[in-house]
Amino acid sequence: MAFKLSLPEFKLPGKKAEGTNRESKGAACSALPVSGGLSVTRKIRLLSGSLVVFFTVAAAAAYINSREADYTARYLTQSGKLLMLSQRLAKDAQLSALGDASAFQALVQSKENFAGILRLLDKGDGSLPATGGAAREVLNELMVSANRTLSDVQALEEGRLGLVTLGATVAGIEATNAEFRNLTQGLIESASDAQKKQAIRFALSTERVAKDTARALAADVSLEQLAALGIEAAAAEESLAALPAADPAVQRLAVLFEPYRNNIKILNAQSPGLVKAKSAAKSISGNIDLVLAKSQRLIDAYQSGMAARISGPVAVLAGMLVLLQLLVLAKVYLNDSHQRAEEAENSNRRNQAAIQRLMNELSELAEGDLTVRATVSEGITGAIADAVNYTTEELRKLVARIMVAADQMGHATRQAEQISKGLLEAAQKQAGEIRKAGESVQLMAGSIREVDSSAIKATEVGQRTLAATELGSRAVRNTIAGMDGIREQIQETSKRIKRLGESSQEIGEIVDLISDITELTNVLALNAAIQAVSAGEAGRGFSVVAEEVQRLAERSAEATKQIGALVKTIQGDTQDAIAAMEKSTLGVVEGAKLSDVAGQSLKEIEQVSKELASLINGISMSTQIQTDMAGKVAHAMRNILQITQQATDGTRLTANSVAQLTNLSADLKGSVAGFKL
Amino acid sequence: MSKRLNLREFQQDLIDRMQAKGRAGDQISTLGVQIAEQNWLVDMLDVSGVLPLPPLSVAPLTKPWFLGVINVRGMLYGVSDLAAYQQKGKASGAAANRVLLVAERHAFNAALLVDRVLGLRNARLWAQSEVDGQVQYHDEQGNFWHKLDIVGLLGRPDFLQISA
Repeated sequence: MAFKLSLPEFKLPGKKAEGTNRESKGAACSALPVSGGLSVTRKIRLLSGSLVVFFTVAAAAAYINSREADYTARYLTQSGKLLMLSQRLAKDAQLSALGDASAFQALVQSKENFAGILRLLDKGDGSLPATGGAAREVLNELMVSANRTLSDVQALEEGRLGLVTLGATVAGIEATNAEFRNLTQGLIESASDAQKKQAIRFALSTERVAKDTARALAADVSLEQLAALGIEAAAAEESLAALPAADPAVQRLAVLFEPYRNNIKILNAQSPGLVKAKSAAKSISGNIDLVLAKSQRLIDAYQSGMAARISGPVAVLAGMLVLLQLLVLAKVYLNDSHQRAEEAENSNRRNQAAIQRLMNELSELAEGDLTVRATVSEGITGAIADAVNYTTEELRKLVARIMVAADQMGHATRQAEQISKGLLEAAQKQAGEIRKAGESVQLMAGSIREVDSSAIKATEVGQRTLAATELGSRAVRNTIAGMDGIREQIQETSKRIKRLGESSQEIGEIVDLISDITELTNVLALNAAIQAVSAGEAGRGFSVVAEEVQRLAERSAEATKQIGALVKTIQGDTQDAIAAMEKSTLGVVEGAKLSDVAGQSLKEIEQVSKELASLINGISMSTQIQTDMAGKVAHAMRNILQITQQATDGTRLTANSVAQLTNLSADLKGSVAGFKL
Repeated sequence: MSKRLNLREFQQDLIDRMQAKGRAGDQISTLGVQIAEQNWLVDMLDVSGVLPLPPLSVAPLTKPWFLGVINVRGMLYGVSDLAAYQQKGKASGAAANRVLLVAERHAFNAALLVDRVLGLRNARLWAQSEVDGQVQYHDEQGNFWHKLDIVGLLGRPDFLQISA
């Protein structure tokens, strides 16, 4: 069924497939030139490579050009300075030779700067390379002359002390000259003959010294001149010594002459350096022109070196080549894309034809013939045809399996029908059994209820027993308390009786005393009677009294005897009473003990009846739970019965469904039979 | 104890009897004593006093019936147990034993120990009988009484010979 429906859908995407084909053609465009236009890719790649190379060269050349221009500018600056410094050196050397102290300082400064620049040009430093090329030779020549000049400057510097002293001497002589001359003139006029001669000699010597020193300063100097100066100075000193020292003019002269002498001494000591310095100064002024000329040449050489650099033109050339490469690249790319478009159209046409053929082959498959096979070609439809063939084969196997399964299903449904019939009978029997069981459970619940009511009655009886035992134990407690009271009273009574016994004892003692007294009275009475008898007639009255006394004594003795007997009896009775009391106390204690035991027993009875009550309560609760459970069981039985009836109904329905299933399997078989395998 | 004495009556009775005694001149003169369970009558004129047995000073080497010497108000008396003397046992030694002092007119410092003194007895009205030369009396209650002849006793040599 599905195949009939899917067929129109299958044709519609045919046109859509052209769209997708076109896209695939676009993808093929990049693939096609791979076989035919490999050279184009290589060309583009080559052109791009050379483009990059030229661009790099141009950039490098521009960079180098810029750096060298910078260097040359700095070389020119430095060599200009060199020119200026050499001129200043010449001027300072001239001034220094005349003994100017400040010119020496300037000279030293200029020399150091000069030497520094030369070193920079020769060796270079961190930011500036050493001079090279054509300028190098000129520089070497300059270095020779410059070094000579520098060594001269060094020599001049070493003679500095001499030159400065010479200058100072000349200045001092010029300053004091007029005064000196006046003084010597005065001396010459005022002095005696001998002294006049000495004064003249002194004046001549000093004049000569002044002249010689001025000459030594202005012009060349030689060792001989300096020696002559020393001799003249010595002569002048000698003449000064010959002059009278007391003269104030002579003293003033000596004072003025003192610096002369000292300076001339220093000059003599410095004479070799002085001579060398003078000659060095001369050499400098002779040499400096050469140095100037060479410096000029060095500047020229740097300028010409700048003009001769090749990096500028190289950069321009490389730039032009880069532009050319770009033009060629554009041309190659345009040609290539044009060719690709043509090839894509051809391939599209071929693909359409192949698809038409595949559609024709597949139309038979739609009729239900699964034996049909599509042609497998090398074109784009080849893979599709192969896939369709594979699908058809799998479909054929599937339909065959469905047929076998439908057969098996028919067989199984028949068996299921029989089984469900058996099930139905079993379920009906089960329902009957469950109904009987439910009735039994109801009966059981009734009997449990009876047990429950008995248990409740038993609980009441137990409660009553408990109350009774409580009353009993209270009575026993009261009895015990009463017994205790009795015992105490008996003990009290016993104490009193004992005291009574003790009192009767005392009475007995007193009676004994009375008895003794009576006895004595008796004896007294007898004696009195005897005396009365012996008295004869006179004692007659007295004898009557004595007789009476005697008789009374006898009577009281009788009475005391009776009292003693009574007291004895009382004592015996009290003893008996005490013994009886003790016995009864013991009896009371025994009774209390027995009542205690009785109380204990009652307590136990109470405990037991409480336990009994709780047990009966437990039984009652259990029976209630049982009643509930029985009710639940009955309910559950009813539910089971209901469920069993539902199950019976379900089984019946299942039997019906199985019958329908049999029909359905027959239908399935019929529908699959349409396929040709 | 109901027989209480009336003092006034007693006094009246006593005075009456004294007067009667004075008129009649009749006087009881015998004393009843008991020696070895036998009743004896003693003439009160032969006796100067009756007293309980005072402390005895035992005299050695004497007859068994001579018990010793006693001191009564500064006078010494020799005590003789009459029961022992009559060879009828011994005096009971109870508190009721009494010593009879022989009258001073006999000038004989002797004391006689008897079991007890029964009191004054008027034997004139009692019946008399002679048994073995001795006078016996019967009182109203039917008891027999012997007559103790103290003078005769004092004259007997075995009584006077006390040394053993």
